[in-house]
Amino acid sequence: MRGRKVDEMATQEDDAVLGNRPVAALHCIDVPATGDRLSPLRQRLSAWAAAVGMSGDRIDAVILATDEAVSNVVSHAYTLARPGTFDLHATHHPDQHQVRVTVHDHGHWQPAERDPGPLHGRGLVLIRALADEAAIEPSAAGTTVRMGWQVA
Amino acid sequence: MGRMTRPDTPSIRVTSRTVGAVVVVEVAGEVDLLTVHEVAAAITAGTAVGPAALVLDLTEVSFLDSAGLAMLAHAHMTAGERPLRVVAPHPAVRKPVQLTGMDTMLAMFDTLAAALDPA
Repeated sequence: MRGRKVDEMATQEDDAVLGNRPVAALHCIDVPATGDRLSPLRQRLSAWAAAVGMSGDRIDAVILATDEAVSNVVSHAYTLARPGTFDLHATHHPDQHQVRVTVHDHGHWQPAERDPGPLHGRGLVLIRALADEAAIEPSAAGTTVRMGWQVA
Repeated sequence: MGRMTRPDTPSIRVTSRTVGAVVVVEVAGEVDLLTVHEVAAAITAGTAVGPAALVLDLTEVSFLDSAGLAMLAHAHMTAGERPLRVVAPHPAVRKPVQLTGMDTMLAMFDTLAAALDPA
């Protein structure tokens, strides 16, 4: 894979479950914005969220919300002629009792056509319903989706 | 991101069969941008044989996102006279359907038996 994998998942299982020490961040850099990346990314993020000690329902919420953000990049941030990449960061902040997942692309929102696409429709609804906090930040340099969940 | 090789097994399996005059499309695994077209194709093929009803059995679906919801909405809206019934007992499907209010649109069932013989 082009790009660096900065951190690996933590293996401090006991402390991770108790939330006393932060689980090492999950950084996925320069991931190709293609549909075949969705499932492996969900699996990776699911394992990370489990290491944090989140409950099954909360993990499912993190996975689905993040999948919606990434799916939007795959669908809309680039064109088939010019495929792009995205970055995903999952971080654990036990002092703030929070996990954050950020998805950043470097592309541009494509004009809405007949199908407005997931994040213009149900994708955004799901993100806002599933995340405790969510912010969509478009800019000339790309779009950042920031999601946060409270953890014990 | 770890291993970048493609998985040995696909993340979705779609099978179709008939139960009397009803076509049952059974989906196992993950429904997302990559895989949703396989479900759509099976629904289209199943509809083409002119069944009395089409049942989409999502009992074994472990993940479904807005790509799957869009497919369900399209299948529902194009079903016409022929009812589309969705079997989805688990949260993997129920939760996104409920969060987007689609449970008021779709005919949802907890079991295949119930979908095949609705009250």
